[in-house]
Amino acid sequence: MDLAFSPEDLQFYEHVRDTLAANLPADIEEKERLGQRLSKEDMLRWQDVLAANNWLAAGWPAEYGGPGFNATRRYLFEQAYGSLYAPPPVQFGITMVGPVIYNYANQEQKDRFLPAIRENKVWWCQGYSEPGAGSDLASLKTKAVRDGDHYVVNGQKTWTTWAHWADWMFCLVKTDTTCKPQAGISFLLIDMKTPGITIRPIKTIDGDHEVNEVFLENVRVPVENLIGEEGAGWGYGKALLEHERFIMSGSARSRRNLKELRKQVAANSPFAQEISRLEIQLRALEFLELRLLSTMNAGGNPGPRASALKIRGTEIAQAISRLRLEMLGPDAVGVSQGFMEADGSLPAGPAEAAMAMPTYLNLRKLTIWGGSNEIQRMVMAKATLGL
Amino acid sequence: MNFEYDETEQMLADSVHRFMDDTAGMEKARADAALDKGYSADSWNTCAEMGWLAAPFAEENGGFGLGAVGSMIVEEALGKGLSPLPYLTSVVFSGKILEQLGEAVEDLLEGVISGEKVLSIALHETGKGYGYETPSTTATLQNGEWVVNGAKSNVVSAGAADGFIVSATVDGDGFGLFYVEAGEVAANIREINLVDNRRAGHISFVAAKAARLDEGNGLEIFDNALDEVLIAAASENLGAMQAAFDQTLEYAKIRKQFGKELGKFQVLQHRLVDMSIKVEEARSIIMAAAMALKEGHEDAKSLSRAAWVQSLWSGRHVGEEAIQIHGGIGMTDELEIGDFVKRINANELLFGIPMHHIERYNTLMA
Ligand SMILES: Cc1cc2nc3c(=O)[nH]c(=O)nc-3n(C[C@H](O)[C@H](O)[C@H](O)COP(=O)(O)OP(=O)(O)OC[C@H]3O[C@@H](n4cnc5c(N)ncnc54)[C@H](O)[C@@H]3O)c2cc1C
Repeated sequence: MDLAFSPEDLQFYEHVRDTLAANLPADIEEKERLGQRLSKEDMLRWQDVLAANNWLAAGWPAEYGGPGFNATRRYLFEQAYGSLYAPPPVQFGITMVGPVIYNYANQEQKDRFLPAIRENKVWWCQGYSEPGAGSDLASLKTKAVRDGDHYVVNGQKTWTTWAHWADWMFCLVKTDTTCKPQAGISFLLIDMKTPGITIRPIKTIDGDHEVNEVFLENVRVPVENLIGEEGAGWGYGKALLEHERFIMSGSARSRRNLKELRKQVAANSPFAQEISRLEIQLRALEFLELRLLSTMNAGGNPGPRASALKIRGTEIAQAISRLRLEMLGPDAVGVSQGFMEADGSLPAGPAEAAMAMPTYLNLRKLTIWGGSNEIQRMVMAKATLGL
Repeated sequence: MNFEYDETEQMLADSVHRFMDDTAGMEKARADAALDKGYSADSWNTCAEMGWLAAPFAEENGGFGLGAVGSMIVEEALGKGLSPLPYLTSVVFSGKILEQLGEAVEDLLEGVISGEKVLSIALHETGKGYGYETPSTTATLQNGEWVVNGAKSNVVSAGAADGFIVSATVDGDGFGLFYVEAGEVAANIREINLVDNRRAGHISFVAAKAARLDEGNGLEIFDNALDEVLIAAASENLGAMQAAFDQTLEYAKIRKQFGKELGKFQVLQHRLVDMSIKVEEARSIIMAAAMALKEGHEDAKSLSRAAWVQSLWSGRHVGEEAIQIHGGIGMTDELEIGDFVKRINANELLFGIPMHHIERYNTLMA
């Protein structure tokens, strides 16, 4: 056992942190620090910086054009990135559909889609959830019926994050309704410009427009947009969810946010107690994360134990946003800035107070999406405890 | 010992709940918040006509003598209805300050009880958290008249108020309470929306003419009023959390995943039971605190703080679970759930987080 990272790894961490910090546009950093919303243009501008260093698709192996980090470097990269007020990259292309494509797609598809993801050329959205199919995703109803060299897709997706900004959507659709639900699901890529797609915005409790309903009406999708085999989409989609979990602890961002809160209080303040309480929980989580990483480095597979990272990471992130509200007190009770106030102005008072409540409300999503925390616990009960 | 409403209390509860069922709810609350005053003047008139504004005041002051039990009953219904009416700030907070001051402010109190005057409390100052005892706002005597200088933030219903009760530091005499007519500051109010469909304002007091309300005992008067304010606000939280719980329970009975209603999953059954316990705990201690204050029990002050803090613990738990158990739909602006959560959170920030009130509780119990 050995707690320290190697000097080379630490150098790598510093290099990533310093390079990102030096190239992070000041206006974007400020927005991120104050918890303000970023525009599509802001996100693309920042992702161009990442792409220029080939750090957008940070988790990709070298053979698909990624940086080919080992597990330790991948972790340190996330830590360095998360220590800054840099917006997290949009996940749908790089950690979701990208890995499905390089693992399961044919060569032509890889050539067509992977470079554009890596180079920040295409915005992807995720068309999984439906009104009737959330936790029970396999019960999805959107149908794709083969018609010559096209699939004709009909149905409705919902909660589709940034569908209104997306160029493409990866979608789970039903190609066979006669077999077991999971066996009839296929993985289809849909160009959002295809006729028959209607997007309806959903306003969330923080006043933002992030998610959408997506209606598909006789949408004709070329057969060459099917990934892998017809009816095998469920397996691809599931593999992707596991991929997602490891980076969902958000521990680096939580550390950054706690550090900021710590700066604002004296050591004997009752708030310092609360900060420490969360920080100790966070440290336990960080070391759990490192232990799973060490398992991976030793050739093992952390498997469903990674669900623990999602569960605790999201709970801690929510608790931090809650503590921040309490520390701001009455100054955080007004709204501003896209949140009902029409003129976009900030209320008087500390600028960071303006978005504290919307942020608290917005982060309730962390325990709902990406496989809700209830579902994660069920996965762990079954797969790690054998219940 | 009796936790059942008597006939008068039951009548009050029935009538105000019926009114809220008929006229309130999310759509109406949002529409009302966008009106000139930030609430419906018609609804306010109804509150006055029905005597709800008079409920918590002593009979000799023109009230119905229900005290904290009265404001508790009215506020629970307002919370359930997400109402933006200025009951807490005008009737309970301002009214309960005035009620302690006797004849000098008789007319003002009469105006509050009849609904003709709406008052608000100018208390918060930016960056000061809950440091109420030492306002940066000052009051000074100029040629025998008081003038107030300073900036107050998040004054609820500032735009609709006819006057403000302002906390200020008096030269050489510590904390004082002052009354400032709205006309004195009309040009210096910047209205904002609160997170929960109520409106408020940031106000600069620039040599604003004022009348002093206290005789050096301002903090005591303020603290006494706060006893009832905290119970009433706790009850508003209760109304909101009860409704959020009821709606979540309903949803768990109809939403199906994996071929079953959510409520059939044991994990969620336990969670729903815990929510219901949190609601009942809050309800019990709020009722006890209201009775203690009305009856003048010696532990009324500590019970008021305890009821408030429990309402925040329960409210937070129930609110967060309500969103979680609804899943994605709980995150949308289309459901009332989010508005209940925002009301409880706004009240917490306005009237003080648990940590602040627990400090006071510690000294009361020491
Ligand atoms: C902000 C946001 C963005 C999202 N973005 C996307 C996106 O881009 N693309 C996409 O496809 N989806 C997206 N989602 C959808 C998300 O994945 C679903 O909300 C999630 O899967 C839960 O499904 P549901 O909302 O239908 O809730 P339900 O499945 O109805 O669940 C409701 C509650 O019941 C619990 N529950 C369900 N079954 C059980 C059980 N058997 N035992 C115990 N508890 C149970 C759940 O955990 C949850 O708490 C997003 C959601 C949110 C909130």
